[in-house]
Amino acid sequence: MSPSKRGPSVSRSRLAAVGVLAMALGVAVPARARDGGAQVGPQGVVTLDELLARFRSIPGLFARYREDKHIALLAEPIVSEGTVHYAPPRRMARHTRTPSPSHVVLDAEALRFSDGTTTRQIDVGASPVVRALAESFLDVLAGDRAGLERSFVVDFHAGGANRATSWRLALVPRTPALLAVLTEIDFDGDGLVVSRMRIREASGDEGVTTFSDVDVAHRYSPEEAARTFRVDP
Amino acid sequence: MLAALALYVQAKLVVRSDITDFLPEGPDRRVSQLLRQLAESEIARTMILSVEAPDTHAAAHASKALGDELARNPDIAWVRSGAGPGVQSAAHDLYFSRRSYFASDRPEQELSSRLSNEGLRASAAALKAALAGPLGPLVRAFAPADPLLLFQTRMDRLRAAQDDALHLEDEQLVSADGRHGVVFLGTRAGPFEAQAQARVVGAIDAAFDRVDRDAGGGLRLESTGVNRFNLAAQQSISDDIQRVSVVSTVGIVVLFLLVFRSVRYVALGLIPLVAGTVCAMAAGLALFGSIHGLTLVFGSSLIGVGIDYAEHYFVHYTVSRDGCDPETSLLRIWPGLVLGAITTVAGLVGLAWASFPGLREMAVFSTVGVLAALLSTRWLLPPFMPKKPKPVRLQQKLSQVLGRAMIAMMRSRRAVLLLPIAGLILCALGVPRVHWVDDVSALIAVDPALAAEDVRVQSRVQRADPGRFVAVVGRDDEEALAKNDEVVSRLRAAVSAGELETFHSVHDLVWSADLQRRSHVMFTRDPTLSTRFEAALADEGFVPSAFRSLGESYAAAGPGPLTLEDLRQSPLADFVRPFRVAAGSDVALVTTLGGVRDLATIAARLGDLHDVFVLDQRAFLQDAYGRIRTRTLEMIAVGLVVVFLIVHLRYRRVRLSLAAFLPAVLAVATTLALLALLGTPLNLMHLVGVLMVLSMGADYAIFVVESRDHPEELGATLVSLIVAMLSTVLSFGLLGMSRNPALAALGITAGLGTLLSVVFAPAALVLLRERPSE
Repeated sequence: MSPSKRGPSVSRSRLAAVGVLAMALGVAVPARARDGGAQVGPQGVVTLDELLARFRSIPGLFARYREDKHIALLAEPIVSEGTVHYAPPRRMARHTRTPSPSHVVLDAEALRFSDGTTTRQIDVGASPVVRALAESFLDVLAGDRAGLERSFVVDFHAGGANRATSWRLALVPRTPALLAVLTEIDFDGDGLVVSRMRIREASGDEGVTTFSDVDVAHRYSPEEAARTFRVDP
Repeated sequence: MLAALALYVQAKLVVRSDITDFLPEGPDRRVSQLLRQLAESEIARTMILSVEAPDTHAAAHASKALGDELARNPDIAWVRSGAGPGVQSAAHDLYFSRRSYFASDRPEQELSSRLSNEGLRASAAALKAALAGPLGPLVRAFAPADPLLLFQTRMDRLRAAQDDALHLEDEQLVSADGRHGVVFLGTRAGPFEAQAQARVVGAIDAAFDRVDRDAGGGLRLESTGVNRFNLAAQQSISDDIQRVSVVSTVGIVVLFLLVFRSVRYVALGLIPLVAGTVCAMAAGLALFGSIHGLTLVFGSSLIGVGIDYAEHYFVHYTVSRDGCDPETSLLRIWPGLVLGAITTVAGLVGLAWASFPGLREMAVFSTVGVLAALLSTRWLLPPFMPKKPKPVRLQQKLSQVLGRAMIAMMRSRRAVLLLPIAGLILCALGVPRVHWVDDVSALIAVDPALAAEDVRVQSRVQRADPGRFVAVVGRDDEEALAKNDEVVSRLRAAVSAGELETFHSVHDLVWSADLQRRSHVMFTRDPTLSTRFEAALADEGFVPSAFRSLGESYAAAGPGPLTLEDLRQSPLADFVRPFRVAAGSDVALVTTLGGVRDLATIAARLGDLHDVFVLDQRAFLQDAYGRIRTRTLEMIAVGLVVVFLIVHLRYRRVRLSLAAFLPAVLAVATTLALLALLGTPLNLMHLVGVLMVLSMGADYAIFVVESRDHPEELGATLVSLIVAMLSTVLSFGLLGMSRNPALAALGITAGLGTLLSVVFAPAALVLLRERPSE
């Protein structure tokens, strides 16, 4: 067993403490300003700005998901399934059906989550670490390039996999505090359909989420929105 | 000698406006001391600044810039506008290594259950859920060394302690609405050190102007702090002093010129005033180190008392036509002056027994001032009087008119009787309507705009009922923390019972060493704990070997319990400041209360704890002032008996003694009755005014009675009384228009009372004299 698996080093522990403390104190960690490099593909291939502009125009999103989370502390990966929802301008929900019901709702103000018995609320605006963890996917769907580049160096490639409309977006943390937690988040997609999200953690753990039944033209009626974007549905 | 004293005063003069001088001592001395210490503590030295900006980022940026600039100011001890990496690292260093010491503040109850097989399984399941949750990567970083998530729970407690009122943006504190950046700062000087606080407020304004300019305008600064209220009060008192001093001096000079037609008398009239004021200030500075603004105002009122002696002397000297030299003329009225001064001092010294240091200072100041004025009248005035006074027509005429009026009054005693009867009727109607208000706010003028700003700024920062708190006193930090642990436990029960909505305690940051050890020992005493926990982890699908052993994580002794001193020496010191107060050689820990339903039920919960005080500052002061008012009324009654005895020693005849004594008493009663009929609630400062009227009114009556056997002098005495009354009303009447409620109460009582004293004094002689001379 390597030392890193038995426990965090002091420096990593302290850096990660920034995240936990951020959750607890609402402490923000400054993101150093650095130019993120959005790659512009060859002519005829979608660029990051074009893709994000198209995301900004969608009326809403519905998808089913399956997440396989490989955590070294666990003998078996955690597999969870459920649905994800997005409604502009910045509302997102994830309702997990299995292995046990849980709910996560994220909006411009806070991240709320519930396991059916307890509910917690985190002020995401106060902490870039928490914001980055919670909002990376939301920033993609909201077409918020500035939001992405606040915490990550953005790497975008389009036109791979023999399809002009396919793309890969990789996000690498900018700050040591975030790097102490995350190594990379990357998304694979085709057109407006995000098919896969992979989160690689500093610990070596990895979570892969695959999406199906993706509906990028989903319009949430007020009633459905009220039902969907709450942690106690 | 006067010049030397004046130089001493000039060199040493420090004026203060500390309201704690009006906090009582006596039966509640401990509470009173505590309130006084709180009033000087770091809590009272803390200011809260709120910078409003168009958006959250701008608010955070502006508050950071303001905080950075103010941190360089030598008058400012500390500034906190956010929680930088230093704070975060310190929190990790202090708490992560002590996570088992802070596992539970009810260790025997909570940890027994949590460390049972069932509890451990629940913890393992909770860890798994947290790892799968949206913030799983953060949890993952700690999980191997803290599978029970004790550190995160501790940090959650810190978060909860903030009441959700403040958030951080770009490391800066911002209000919940995201539009106000918040800066806390502590001043080096106490909140009542007016000069230093004026510098601080000026520096804040200047720094904000620069920050606003750099931001291109659009920012708005609001702030609060005890110092701001104090500065406003001090400014108000200073303005009143200036106005009273200037206008009354001008008025009295004009009065002298009208009555005596000579600049010489104006100059000579100043001698008792200057002597009285200089001696009083020197005595005040020597005894108390500084002089309260209210004492100075009270002292400046001596202008109406000290000058009476000179006026009485001048009128007698200039009106009498018996060719006496200045010395002889003075000696003829000297017994009356001495008796007047003695009764004045007898009335004032009553204040010296009051439980308020401020009132004691007033008593000393005034007594010294009155005696110095009397002695300077005796020895400093005669040598400078003109050998042959020039008769003044106005005086002669007034003297004749008043002399004739007196004779007419003596002939129509029944008509004169109407005066006291009218006074008594007013008393009968008004005295039952007298309504005493003991609320301290009746003595302090609070600018409504400042009060509203205070409410706005406080509401952005924390939810707490102003002036309501629990104070725990211990011989040292540890003793105080141990009591505080118990207080918090009971306050939680109060919250559960709905008696209280919230409270903020240092308990969120640190517990007693004993409680921390009790928490830690729960992880060391069971040798099977590690094995049982590994089994629980395995049952939940974890790989136990991926975790540090429980002994390594939680049972190790580590750095030992966290102390208040550790926190005070760390970057978290600013978090502790609002809670800890040095109370002499003791330590007081303050817990603020928010949303109290009924303080009595809270007090009942904590009633059996030694040296734990549930304080409602306003109610305490109200109760204390009420008791002091009652005590002062009793002292006045005793003082009246003493004054009557002194007067009777002089006159030996009851009717004459009553003639010297009753006018002031009736004047006071009529004054209070009139105020009551006008719907004015009375407070302690009205009572101080009563004392002054009794003292001065007795002087007037004594001067009249002294002239009873010299009809040729009676007219002169009445002239001197009118001049004295006018000068008194000039000075006190102006005080009555003060914005400061305390000064206004004092002024209106003294002004109205002296006027009535002058009316009642000759009437009393007419009615009570045994053989009226015609």
